[in-house]
Amino acid sequence: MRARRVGAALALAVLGLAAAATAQHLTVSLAAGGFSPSDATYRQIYGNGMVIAGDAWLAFEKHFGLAVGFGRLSDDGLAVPVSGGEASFPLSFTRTTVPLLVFYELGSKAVTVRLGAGAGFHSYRESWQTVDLEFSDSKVGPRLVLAVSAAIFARLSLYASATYDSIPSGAGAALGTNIDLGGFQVLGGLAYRIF
Amino acid sequence: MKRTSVLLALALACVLALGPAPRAVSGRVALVRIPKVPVSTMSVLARLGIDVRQELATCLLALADQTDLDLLRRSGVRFTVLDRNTARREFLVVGTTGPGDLESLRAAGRAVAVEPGTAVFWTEAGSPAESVPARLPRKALAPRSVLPYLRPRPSAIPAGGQAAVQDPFVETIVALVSSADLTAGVQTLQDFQTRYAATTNCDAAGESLYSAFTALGLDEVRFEPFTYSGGRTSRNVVAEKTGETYPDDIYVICAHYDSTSPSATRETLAPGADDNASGTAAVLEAARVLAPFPLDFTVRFIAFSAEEWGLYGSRAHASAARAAGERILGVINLDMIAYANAVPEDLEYIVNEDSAWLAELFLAAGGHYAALAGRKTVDASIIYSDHSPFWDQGYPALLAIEDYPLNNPYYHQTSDTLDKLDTGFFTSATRASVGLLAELAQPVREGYPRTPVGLAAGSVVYSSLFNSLRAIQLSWPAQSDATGYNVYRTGFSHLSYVKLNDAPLAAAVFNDETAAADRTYYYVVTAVGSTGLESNRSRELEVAAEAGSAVRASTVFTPLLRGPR
Repeated sequence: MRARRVGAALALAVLGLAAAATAQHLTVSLAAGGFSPSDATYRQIYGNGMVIAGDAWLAFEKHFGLAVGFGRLSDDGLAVPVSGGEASFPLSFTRTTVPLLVFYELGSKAVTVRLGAGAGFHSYRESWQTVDLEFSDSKVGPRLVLAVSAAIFARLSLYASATYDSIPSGAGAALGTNIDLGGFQVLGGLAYRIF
Repeated sequence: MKRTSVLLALALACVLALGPAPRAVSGRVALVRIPKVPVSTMSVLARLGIDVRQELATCLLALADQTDLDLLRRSGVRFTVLDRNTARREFLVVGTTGPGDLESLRAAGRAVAVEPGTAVFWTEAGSPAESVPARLPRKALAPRSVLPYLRPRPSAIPAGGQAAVQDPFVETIVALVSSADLTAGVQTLQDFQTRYAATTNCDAAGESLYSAFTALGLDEVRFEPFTYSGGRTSRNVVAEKTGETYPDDIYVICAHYDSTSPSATRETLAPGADDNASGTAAVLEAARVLAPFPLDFTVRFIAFSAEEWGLYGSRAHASAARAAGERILGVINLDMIAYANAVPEDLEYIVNEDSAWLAELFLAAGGHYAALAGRKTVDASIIYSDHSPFWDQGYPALLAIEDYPLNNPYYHQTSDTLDKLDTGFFTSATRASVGLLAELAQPVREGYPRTPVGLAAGSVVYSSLFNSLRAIQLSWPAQSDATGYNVYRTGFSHLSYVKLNDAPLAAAVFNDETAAADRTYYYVVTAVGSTGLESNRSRELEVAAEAGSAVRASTVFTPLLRGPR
């Protein structure tokens, strides 16, 4: 399993280098912001979360491009008493996402707008902090992105993005099944044009 | 081996829970002996609804019609028919000490040895009890099937597991026990010359006890008439002090007041000072010293009759109590507690496994209140006293006796008189009994918060996205005189409670998230007043989960379920 993953990563890297060789420009972004879950149960337990993310945007001819990245969501919450309990069980939830997107880019040198669609590869872990309970899994889900960057220097831009993920988990507990771990995230940060 | 036993016990539990009630027998009914091994026999009997009337150490005695016998054969259950037609016959289980006893019985009627030291005895006509030699203890078969109460036993409790400490208030009550009263009580009963149950003297002794209980100002005193052995009648004397907090929950202290001696003399002279004027006087003394004190639980003081005939008085009482759905929490049966064959004498506590907690508490009470040593014997086949019919009805019961096997040379003799008794040992035994009874019934103390009532359990489930935790939630009505509450838990009924909360709880609710799955727990709760005084304990609440997730009773559930669904 591990070997297969390493192989896939290497293949992706080779393809990336080949693509970079033919690309018109490459931009990397680093951003942080908030996550608002779409699932009511998720929201009830964890509320909104914090996200940090980094992406590489590789643009080709005719405004199309590929983007890959890395994101990490972390959140703390409390277990919900289903039938009237008053005890408090703190929880933590982390999700790591590797997105792979196709995007369309438009705009000028000053302002660039990117519309992307693709998949997010999500690994997540939920832990009870005071009880020996834990759950982890990984899923793939669709992702849509709207990203805007506004140049402030020659290569440096202000960067903002809005992302929607859908991550049906196919699992759940007393509060419901097939919890969707996705939702909206809005990030702000900087983008740097490498070439 | 342990694992096999647990599995068999669980299988038996399921069968007993789901199996049919004993069927009514019809036609010619036989008395059969069924070996208890293999262990699966018990579950088969439960499934077939066999009418088991006595459990012994190695076998069961059951009534079975032809249909039952066919079912037993088809099910591969080995059995021996002791008597093919039980109609209009009374059967006694008789304790024997050797071949000579069996020969004596066979000379008087029909006798079959069913296991070492035990025979079944009956006569073609008349009362078998009158034909049994006086020296041999006997017991009539239970009036209905005991099979529902032959359930899997709880795990053995740890020796010395009782952590209760001496209670100064109980100590003041125990100090009221009077040696003079005890010996006077024995003398009074001895003065009836005989208390053999078929005599008017025994009736007069019952009248005397009735008057004595009445004079104490208890809440209720009554005769409890019953028939026994060929249509004879006799009367138990039942007195009651109603509990202030739990009036429907009853602790019993009892003794038989009838006596016997060899057949040639028993109707004219059977002083029965040790057996059992001693126990009866102790019960009367317990009533006297406890009468002025309000108690949380109801205490029933009983003087049984016709014990010497085959435990008929207690058989009638226990059977009626079960039929009426009475909640008898524990029975202390005092039988021969004043003769010391060695000094210092200790007291024997005979219990079955369901009642072992009573022996542990008695041992502790003996040490706390009477400097009395004791010895616990867990043996469900020791059945020849008034505790046994309570076992037959599923009630916890203990026999306190000076020695088992007996060591009193005056046993069932005309020489069993007051002058043979050891007053010091008698007083100590009574003090220990009263101490235990007071601890169980819980004196209500002035200035203390009221004892909590209405303790109930439910389950509370906490859920995250992918896991659930199910905990035990205890709740009880809040009290205006309490500023907080303490919750205690134990894995062994009535013993070794451990407080679960650090500081008193402000709310009348507590979630026990530390309870393990598939275990039985016992909870009590106390109220804490503004001055820090802590109330008596509430009635114990049993919270149990059976294998899987099936629950029994309304207050039990699976304590913990965890993991993704």
